[in-house]
Amino acid sequence: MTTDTIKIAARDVQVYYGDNHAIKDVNVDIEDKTVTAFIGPSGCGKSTFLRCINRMNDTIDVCRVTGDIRIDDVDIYDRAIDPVQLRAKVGMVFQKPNPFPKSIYDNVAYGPRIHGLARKKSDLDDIVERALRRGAIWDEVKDRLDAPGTGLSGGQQQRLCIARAVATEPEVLLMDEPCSALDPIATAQVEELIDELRQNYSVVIVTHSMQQAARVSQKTAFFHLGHLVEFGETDKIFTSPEDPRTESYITGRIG
Amino acid sequence: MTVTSHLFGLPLALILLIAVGVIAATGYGVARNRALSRAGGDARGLHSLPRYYGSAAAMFAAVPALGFMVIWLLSQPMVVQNAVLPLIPSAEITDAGIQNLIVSDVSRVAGGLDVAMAQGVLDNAAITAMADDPKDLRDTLGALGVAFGADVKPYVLKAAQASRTLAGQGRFWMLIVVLTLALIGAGIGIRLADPAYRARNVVERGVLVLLIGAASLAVLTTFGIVLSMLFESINFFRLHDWKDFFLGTTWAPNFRGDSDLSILPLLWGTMYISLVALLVAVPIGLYAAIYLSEYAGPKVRAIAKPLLEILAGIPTIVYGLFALLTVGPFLVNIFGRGEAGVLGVEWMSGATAVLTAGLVMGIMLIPFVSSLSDDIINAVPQSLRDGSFGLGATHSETVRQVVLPAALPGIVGAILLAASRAIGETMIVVLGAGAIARISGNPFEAMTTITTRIVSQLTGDTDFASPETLVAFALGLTLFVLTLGLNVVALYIVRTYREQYE
Repeated sequence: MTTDTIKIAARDVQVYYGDNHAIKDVNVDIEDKTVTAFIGPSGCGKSTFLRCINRMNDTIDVCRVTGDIRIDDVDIYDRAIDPVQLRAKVGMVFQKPNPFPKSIYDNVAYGPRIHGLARKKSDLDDIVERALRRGAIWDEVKDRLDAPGTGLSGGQQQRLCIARAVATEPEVLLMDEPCSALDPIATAQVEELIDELRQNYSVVIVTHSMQQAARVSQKTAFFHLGHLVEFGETDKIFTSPEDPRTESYITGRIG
Repeated sequence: MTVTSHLFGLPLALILLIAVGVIAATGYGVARNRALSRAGGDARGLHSLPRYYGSAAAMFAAVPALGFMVIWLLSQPMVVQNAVLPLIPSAEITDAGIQNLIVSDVSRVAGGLDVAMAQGVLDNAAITAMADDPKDLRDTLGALGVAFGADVKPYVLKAAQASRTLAGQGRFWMLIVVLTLALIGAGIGIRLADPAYRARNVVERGVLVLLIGAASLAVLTTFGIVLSMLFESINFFRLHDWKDFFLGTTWAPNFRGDSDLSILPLLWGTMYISLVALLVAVPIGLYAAIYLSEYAGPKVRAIAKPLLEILAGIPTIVYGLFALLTVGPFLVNIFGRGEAGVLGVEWMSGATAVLTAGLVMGIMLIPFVSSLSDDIINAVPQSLRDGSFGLGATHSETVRQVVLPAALPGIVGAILLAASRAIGETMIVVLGAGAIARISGNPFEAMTTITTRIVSQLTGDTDFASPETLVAFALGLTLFVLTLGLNVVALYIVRTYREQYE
């Protein structure tokens, strides 16, 4: 199902938090219309690397990124690139559901409004409906779009956040442990959703659950102590890893 | 038996305090050791740590005894006063005011005699000798620093002597009862010191009572303030028509009587000046808070925040001087003086005006609004900002559309709290707003507020039976109700609309 188009290409990426060298020499090619999973023990740098892809680390003062990350062969750390524009193209879903204290409708319409994606109210209505349908939450909220988004259950909130991210029509969707705050049923719904999103986006997901990585991803990257230890087809990583560290991790001996 | 108010040169109360302290300390040691020895010297055999047994005994000894002493000391003067009242010939008591004067004379003579006895100037025989003709007493006591306006009358001396005797007896019984209570308490505490006794829980309950006491003292004080205001206000409304007070439009107090005492012009001035102050303080304070919490780096923040908070530490009288001497003339220079002024207009004739007081009060409120808003904005979770940034919003879009709406209830609460401070502010308006009570929309005119009128009605010679003085309490009560209402609404808004973030 994977195509061979490279969407994101990272070369020699180093990240420093003050004096702490958090990411060391990471090289990775992430394909379009593919789900790529980042796994590894806590503090291994997988979330940090994820946040480099949409320059969310820029909001942290002490963080410094060197190296080269290209999306569609454009260097995203180039001076000519506006991180705000970049983030519209590279959407992000966070570990904890973080709906804005606004109505469900306004939550989803937030991005489209900022980026002027809709000219008329009816256009915006369409965008919101489409995004909520893609977020697999339309049927649950279509009768109460004016209700506050914070009043939904945890799983619904996370799907609302995914819908919100999808509404800005990104090309890449970054997910930072999107299911860690959800119960198994909500997790299953979100995983199903991720599989559908693959039709249109390049999805990168950070997860602590190796079963989840195995279920949803086609490619898997294993991070350990800031290094990208191994990257390859998910099946291969989980059945016959090359690096002994990867094998130790997936069999539960380190981490 | 009687006891003088001082023993060994120390006040009796202090001596009793020390005595009870000694008993409690002894109780502590004895109870602690008794508990320990009954457990065979092993602290692990006790229910509580040894010091808890000691503390419980000390608590039993000290608390009832000292509580009793406080109540006795507070009530004894009243009891003695009522007891000597029959000694004053009823012909002398023409009205309640005279009675108060005589009673206070009696207590002053009694106090003077105590001093004279203590210094050896007089003795009991000398006092008895002058019982029928106490003319010299005025000079004798005057030499000791207790001055009287007229010669001491025989019945006053008689009453004073009686009250001294009664007070002495009272002190004797207080001494006996307090020491007995302390000893009984210590004894009970020591007897209870047994390994099975839950001393720790008892001490814990004692601490709880102490905390409850502290909390209720604050609440009761508030009630006391309200009640005293309420009674004086009721007195005022007996003398003055309430309809005129609340609905009339003229404020013209006249100490010869027949004044117009209406709150509306004052209320108008208060509200107008507060409104100007909020128009200054809310935007500046809020923008400062947004800058400090969202944009400023740690270094700027470390310098700017304390600097801003220095503003909050300036006494309001200094703001008042600033209004009177700097801002007022500055505004006159701009809006007044006709051709000689900056704008060439003649709108403002004097330095004191609504605008002067409002501007300066606004400056005073800036740190109040900004530090409250800063706390509230900081309480908005970072995850919301991340979510907004992640969707490609700029910083100011995030602040406007996500952070401020999330912080809005808290900010509204902060503004209402600032408003209630503006309404109650006194010194700035005393100096900056003028003293003319009027209802006018012109911000360049002098006006006056409720607080300044309270000050002016209560300073100088006051007669607490005239409506011109008592009106201050009615004004104060209205002000209190107004600010209380604002605070309640502010707290309600903050609580009801605050988003609950984990």
